[in-house]
Amino acid sequence: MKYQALYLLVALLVGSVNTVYSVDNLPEPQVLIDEMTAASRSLNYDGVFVYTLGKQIDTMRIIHKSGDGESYERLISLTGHAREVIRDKDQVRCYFPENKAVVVEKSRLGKLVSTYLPQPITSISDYYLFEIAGEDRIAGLDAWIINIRPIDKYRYGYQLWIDKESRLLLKSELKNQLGVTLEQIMFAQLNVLEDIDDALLEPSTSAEGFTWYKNSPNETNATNESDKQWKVTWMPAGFSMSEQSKEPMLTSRMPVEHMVYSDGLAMVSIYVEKLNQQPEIVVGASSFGGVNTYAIFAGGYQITAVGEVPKSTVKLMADSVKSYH
Amino acid sequence: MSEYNNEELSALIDGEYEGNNDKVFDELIHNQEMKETWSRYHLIGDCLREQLPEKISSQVSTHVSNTLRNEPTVLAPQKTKQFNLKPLAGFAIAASVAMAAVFSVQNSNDVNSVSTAPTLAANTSAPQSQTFSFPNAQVLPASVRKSDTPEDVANQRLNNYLMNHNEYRSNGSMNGILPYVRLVTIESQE
Repeated sequence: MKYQALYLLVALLVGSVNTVYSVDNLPEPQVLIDEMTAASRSLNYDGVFVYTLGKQIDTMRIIHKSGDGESYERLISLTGHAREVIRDKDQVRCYFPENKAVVVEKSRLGKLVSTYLPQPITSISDYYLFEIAGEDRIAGLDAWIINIRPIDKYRYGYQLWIDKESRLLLKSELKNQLGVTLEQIMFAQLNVLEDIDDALLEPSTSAEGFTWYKNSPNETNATNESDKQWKVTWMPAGFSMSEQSKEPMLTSRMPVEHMVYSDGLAMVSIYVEKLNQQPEIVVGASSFGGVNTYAIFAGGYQITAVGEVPKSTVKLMADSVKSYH
Repeated sequence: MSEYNNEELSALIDGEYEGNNDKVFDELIHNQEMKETWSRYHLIGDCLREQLPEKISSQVSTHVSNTLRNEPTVLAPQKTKQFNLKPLAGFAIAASVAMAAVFSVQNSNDVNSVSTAPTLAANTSAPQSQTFSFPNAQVLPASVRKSDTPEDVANQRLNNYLMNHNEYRSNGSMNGILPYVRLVTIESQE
């Protein structure tokens, strides 16, 4: 009560009475994030956003429809080629008009993890600090700002702007240890709608004369039982392996071992690929905005780490990969 | 005799020839000796890349030139149905990272779940009027390339990994479509 009175007093004194809030009104950041996740899943919305990556800047439109417990999405590039991606519960179709191609993949929505439970968030909070940093206005909407700060130098941080009313994400920045923004997305306009017409989820091209491609990984390369087993022996605290698979890839004649490690927020993929000959070039370290990669070649295998983590992390993880039988 | 030596021919095949390509090709079409050298160099290249066809016919060049007689075009190695991804500097991992990162709050109890990559159902909801072939493709098309230098191969391998990683990123993410923002952006040239 005392705090509330104090806030009111201060607010009056400085003359800004439009937003008076007491300590009680500040949302819990973890709860807010959960609500944001739920909102993204369950609301109908249509918006235009800008994303920047280094000097590159692009705009896109996203349409999201939710109905009968299913969600449908369409993402359209508004810059350059009119590429689009349409997703439903079964598949994702990517249209590339400039190549006259459509690529179809299985939708992974089925493996969605419910984030209504606080549990997943609390395990992350061992390695990240969540806090409400303030308020702002994005796309004409009032928003809460959440900071997600990593506890060590092996991870990146995030800043999120969440619409106070709908709980939808309005802006997001990926930041490194120095607070430099590596990548961001920001909505310029976002409309929450009662309903979305199915026609809005149709592709703008008829795909007449296009070539359709699909992933059918099981048709190629049989798994080789005598292959080595691989393990990452170093990773930042809180990381654990969340997936492991062997997948054929177009540039490889053998299936590529793929392991996914995560601390709940950041994700690092490790690929181990047997190469028949020493490659002339192994792309060592490279960066794509917030994604860093690091590759080494050892004993006939190329080991590549890819993740939204600092360079040092991908390097340490790739270097730590060992084989065992 | 040819006015182009073997070194220049080799450079041409690697896409590193400094001079006028068209002129060389004009000469190549008519010069039998050059043609033999040309096909020999390609064979060597294929061998190095382990892309040898099952049977190598020495008659190929004759057959090809008979076919091409009606259609004089530049002899450039054609790769059909194989899209090579240029390293996308405009990798819009922005959205995927920024948004999917938060959205895909994963349950870290799912450790050591071994899974095989999914198979797509045979009947996809493609428009009926369209007939299509389904070659296996994990790479997503960005451009059609005419040469495969070691750098290209290395870059393509990396791109495949990046694509694949992003697909997993979308796993569990709310706005699961946002990792696909990378595909939908303009690609900037290096």
